[in-house]
Amino acid sequence: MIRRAVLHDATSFDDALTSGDLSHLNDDTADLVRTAQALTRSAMAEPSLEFRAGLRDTLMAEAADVLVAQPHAAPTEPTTITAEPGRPVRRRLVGLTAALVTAVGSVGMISSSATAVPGDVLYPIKQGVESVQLTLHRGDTARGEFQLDQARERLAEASWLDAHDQDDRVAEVLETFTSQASAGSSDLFAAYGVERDTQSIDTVNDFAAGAAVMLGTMSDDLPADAQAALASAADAITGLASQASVLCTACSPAELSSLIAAVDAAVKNSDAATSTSEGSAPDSTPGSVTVPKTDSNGSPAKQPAKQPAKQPAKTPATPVPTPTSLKELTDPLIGGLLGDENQEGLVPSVLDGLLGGKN
Amino acid sequence: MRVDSSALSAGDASALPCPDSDKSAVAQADDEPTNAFSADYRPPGSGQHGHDPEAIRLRALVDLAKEGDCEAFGQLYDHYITGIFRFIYYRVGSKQLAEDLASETFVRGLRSIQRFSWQGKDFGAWLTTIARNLITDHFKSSRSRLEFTTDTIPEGRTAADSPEVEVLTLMSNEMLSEAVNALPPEQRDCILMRFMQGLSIAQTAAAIGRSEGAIKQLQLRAVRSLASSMPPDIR
Repeated sequence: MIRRAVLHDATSFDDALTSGDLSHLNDDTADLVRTAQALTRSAMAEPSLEFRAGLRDTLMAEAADVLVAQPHAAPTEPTTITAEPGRPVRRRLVGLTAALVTAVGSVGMISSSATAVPGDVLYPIKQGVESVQLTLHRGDTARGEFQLDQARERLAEASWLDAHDQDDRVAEVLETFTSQASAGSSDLFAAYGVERDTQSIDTVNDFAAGAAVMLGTMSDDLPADAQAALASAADAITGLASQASVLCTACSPAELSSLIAAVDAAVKNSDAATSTSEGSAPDSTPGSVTVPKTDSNGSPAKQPAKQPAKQPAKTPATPVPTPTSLKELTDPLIGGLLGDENQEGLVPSVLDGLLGGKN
Repeated sequence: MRVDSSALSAGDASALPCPDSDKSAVAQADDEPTNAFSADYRPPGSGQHGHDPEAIRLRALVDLAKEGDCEAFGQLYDHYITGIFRFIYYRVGSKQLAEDLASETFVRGLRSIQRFSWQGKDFGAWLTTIARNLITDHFKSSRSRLEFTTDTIPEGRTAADSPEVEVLTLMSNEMLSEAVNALPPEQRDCILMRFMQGLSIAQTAAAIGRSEGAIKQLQLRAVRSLASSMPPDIR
């Protein structure tokens, strides 16, 4: 309890620092925020322009020798970017990449980036395009469906990377998948809470079923961090399906049996790599799954994606932010599916719903 | 869609051509606010990945630099130099030493960037880790004390635009550095990263190797400690 209160105070403090809004703080905390702001305003030391320019020149000269052009992965749809005479192609790409994210411009480059995967030159453009497209989707249903589409795309990228032995990028992509899946389902649950249209729940369940299949097919020889991200993604999918079953007992539940195999494989591989688990990523990556809080009527309350999850008792336990072994992630997952001493589990709750045991 | 490798290998086969450094890029490097929590400042990393244009741009630059683009590394330098300099400067208390260590940080970053991996890391946090290690090595290898050279550190308070700002703010660099360096090491580094350098909670967590929740608690404790040691008219 004390630890939670301390974290709450720390979170409130940080939120006030970011937003500048001190109205909800007590006097002591508000004073501390002002102290922090004073610290920031005082820290005005700057490197001199002469030093800054001189170091840049030195680095550029050394970069000409140090940075070696890296070969690309084999293209599936090769294309040639034609440089204007006298203008290096690379420099155009740097400028274009920077410009496109704020002003969607070159249609050709945007359409070409659609099939890019992490590590490709055009992948940042793809991300920028998706970001712009998201802003064009209004309403919880449209946003939720689009974000689930984005999550599916992340999963496809992860599968491609896995299949092409580019395992070092898989973990990050899976983490993004988890984030987008959570955000999309959160919007759809919110839509269901307002409109009571079961299509929203069916969309989440269909997504979860498809994701379960793809996660289950990912290879067993992923590196440890990718295995952890895989288990975290599987946990998130289970959470979504569980939440969907709680909200709509009449809806067909998602088929997640393929997740069990993926989790078992991940546990075995993680046990073999336990000694390398030190130095795990901050808790903003694996485990930060947002599950919509439900009120007494079962209506979801929309929450920002980065807040800690608050779950009703029947949903799977919140994952540990910085697990020291994969088992700490997967035990709650298995408990969420089959139940344990703390919760009923997805399978028993669905059976209860079908048999009319609960509302 | 992949870029044809022939378009990239024009010219020097061993390295991509590095055009003359764009001095305007250096002069314009501070178009974006470099001081955390100023009125128009958006903390780095505050937007979700995929929704923050600056974060996307930086990721693109890192990926391009990894693939051998010199100008991309130059733009990364333009973005990160001020924050790295401030982190080092308020830690070591000497502008000359801060310049030396900042130079070494970026040289090492340049030589290692093609081995850099995104796995759970942030590039700014990675550079900060390099700087942090260099500072540790410096204090281990010398008997240097925290010294201040009067010709490099502005004495007294910095100029204020308005009486209100002057009342609310401003410690001299010496006072600030002394107060921060009196903190326990993790609190000290948290303050340096969050409030001098401008790193986000996530970036600070990556650099220090703690969870985000732990960093939030650390920063609150550190600010409390600092507040108790600061003159009342500063708070």
